[in-house]
Amino acid sequence: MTKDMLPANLSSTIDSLKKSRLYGDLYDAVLLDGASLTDVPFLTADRLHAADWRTITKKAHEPLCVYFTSGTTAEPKAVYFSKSDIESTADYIRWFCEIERIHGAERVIVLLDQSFWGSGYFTMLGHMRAGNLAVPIDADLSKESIAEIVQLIKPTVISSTPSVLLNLTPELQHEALKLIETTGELLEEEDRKRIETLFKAPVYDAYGLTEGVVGIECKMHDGYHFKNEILYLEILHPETEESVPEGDWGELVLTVQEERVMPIIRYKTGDICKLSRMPCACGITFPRIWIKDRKEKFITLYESSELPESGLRTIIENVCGKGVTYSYDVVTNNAIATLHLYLDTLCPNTALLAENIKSFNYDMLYLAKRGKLKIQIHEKNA
Amino acid sequence: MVVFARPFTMNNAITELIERAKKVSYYKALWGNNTFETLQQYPLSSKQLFSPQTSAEVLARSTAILSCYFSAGTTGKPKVIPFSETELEERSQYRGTCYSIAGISNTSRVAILLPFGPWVAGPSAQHALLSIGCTVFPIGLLSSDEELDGLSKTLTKHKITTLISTPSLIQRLLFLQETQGASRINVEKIITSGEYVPEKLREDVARIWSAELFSSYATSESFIGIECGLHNGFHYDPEHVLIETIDPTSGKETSETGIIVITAPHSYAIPIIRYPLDDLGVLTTAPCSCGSSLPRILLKGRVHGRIELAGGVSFSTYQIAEALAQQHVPYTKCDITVLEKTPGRDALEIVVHVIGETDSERIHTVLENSSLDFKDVILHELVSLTVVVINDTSENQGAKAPIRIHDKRHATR
Repeated sequence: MTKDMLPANLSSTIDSLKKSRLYGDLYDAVLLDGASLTDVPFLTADRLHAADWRTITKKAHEPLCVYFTSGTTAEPKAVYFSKSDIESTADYIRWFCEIERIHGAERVIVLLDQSFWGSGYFTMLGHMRAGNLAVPIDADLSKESIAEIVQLIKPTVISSTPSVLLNLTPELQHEALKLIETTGELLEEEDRKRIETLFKAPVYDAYGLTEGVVGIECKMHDGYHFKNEILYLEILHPETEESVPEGDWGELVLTVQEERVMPIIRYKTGDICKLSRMPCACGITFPRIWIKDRKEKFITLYESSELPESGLRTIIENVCGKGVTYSYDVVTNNAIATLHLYLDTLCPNTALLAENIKSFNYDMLYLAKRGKLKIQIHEKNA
Repeated sequence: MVVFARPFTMNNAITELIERAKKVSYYKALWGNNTFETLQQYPLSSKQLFSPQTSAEVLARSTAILSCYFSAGTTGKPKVIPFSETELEERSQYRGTCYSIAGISNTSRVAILLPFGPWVAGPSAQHALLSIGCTVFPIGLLSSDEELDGLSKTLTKHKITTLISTPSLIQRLLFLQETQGASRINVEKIITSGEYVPEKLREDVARIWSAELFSSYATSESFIGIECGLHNGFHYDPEHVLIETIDPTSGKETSETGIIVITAPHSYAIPIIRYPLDDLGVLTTAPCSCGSSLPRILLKGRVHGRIELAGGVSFSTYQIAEALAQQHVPYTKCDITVLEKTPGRDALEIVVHVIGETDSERIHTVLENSSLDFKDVILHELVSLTVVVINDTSENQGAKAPIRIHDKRHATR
């Protein structure tokens, strides 16, 4: 897609959105005749998740599947998938398997959430379409049970989040392993090396969001290849929202060019990325994207659950008052994440502070209610 | 109206099923080189069909296996249940057709509160509902009250019409709403599976939610059937599952209450042929007033001292016996008492009379690990386990060690 052209299918989608008002009045001002993509307003997370699902046109006999993402409130946000959305996402993940060269006859343990969040379901489907044997496991199964399943299945591939892999290493290690697939959390280079050493297998990281799967590393492990006929990615200056030169860092704005029941058009991801169409040494001609960080900093706890730093700051201010300085540290051990919060002053109500952190968003609630999140508050002069 | 003829016709589906089974070592050993004229002449299979050896053999042999799920075995080791793509599709379609009997349609918005990976219940329900065009919310089996309350608000916002879950979780939701002020869920139908449904639960669902409860009958090996609106037995389709009832004493087919034996013509990865379940039932082909011509199976109890616990988990005296034997715990008797701890939560007390050993912590661990899904429901606090170890110094130590289950929940249900 070039800047000067809004493809017919997206034009048609925006026209439908104007009528359905799925995203409210977002597209009211867009004049479709002669429009380019840059004439289309951004879709933000708040607007996406405020979508009025009642306006989603469900064709009779076509199923819909609803998964959730966390957000900045205690209520999880729904993302609707039609059957064709599911098929195309699964097919895209099947392509990941081709890039990783694990298509066919592999034994894959998919240690990702298999219901509410969706990541496990799509990963399962993608591997099954690639001809692999895919075995689903939720990470909150007992360690002994996970170990038992690993011994029975003898996996050649494990797909999971870095934090789960590092916390369940003894249970997951197996001599048959030849590849580890990571997803769901920013993969630090130090963690990659640790995982590769512990599991004696290369790590292939995948990058995506519930709203749209993006890309996969090749054997060069230098950026994520993505299919540019399916995804149109823009990198924009976080403040000016203007395009940055190729290779410069900026906020990733995602457009899925396929028809979706919840269309993703110029969706501001909040991720700081760069993009390049330069050839990759692996020989694959699809362009690559790299991710550096989030626009807003998030604290990763366990199993892809995250707390925005701004949220933590707000909670501390609300309970302890403005001007409190603090630092934090996350220690994950035995599949339990402990957030250590160091305050430079006494807190008037540490129980309330801890409770507010645990209920900040659905990610926190999800972890806390499963006994996987602890908060330890350390007060100076306590 | 009689829907199927006895003995079962050796139609193409059954003939092909038997041909597939001949490639499996378990059946080779069971049948030898024999071929029989009717299905009922084939010997009954057993739990060994799903042994780790069979599963390993099937997984090694076939590249058509796309996925595996797990279920509690009775030997302490989990049962591996492999699926081919064809099997997944056909099983989903059958289950979806059964849901239609309960009035689920493509306008239904269904939340699945069943266990997911590595268990088959949740994914099986999901695929089935997608096959009939529903809007599906895969949620999982939530264990904490705060999650349930939070989820109730979310599901109400998304106008859920149907819940699919275990009776214990439905009981928990009702309890939270009625006594703890939790958010109300507005649903029209509940479909349960995995556990016994007390009559009181049906009444509470009608009274508190103005909804109708439909019980379904499924095992990890096969989905079998579902109630219609008359709630008098489970309708099933003999094209998809053949059911016999076998007298436990004579081993012959009976028209009275007997052990339920199933044959699944569309089972591929591990062919299921004359596989006895742990349930007692009676078949009826008497016309049902709902208008369906499908026969029904009425459940009449369990064999082998087997019960269901909160979370849809089967629990048997056999698994306890196996666990104690494998860990070399010499016992003279064992009493298992099941109580309702709070609505939707069970408490299990196991009193083991042992010879010599008094390490109750070790015995607790042995029993807790007697099956994979039993451990799971303890971990998620759906079931609490107390183990009492009594040193037996009596003189009848050589006697056969009985294990008895005392299910005291029914008095409160």
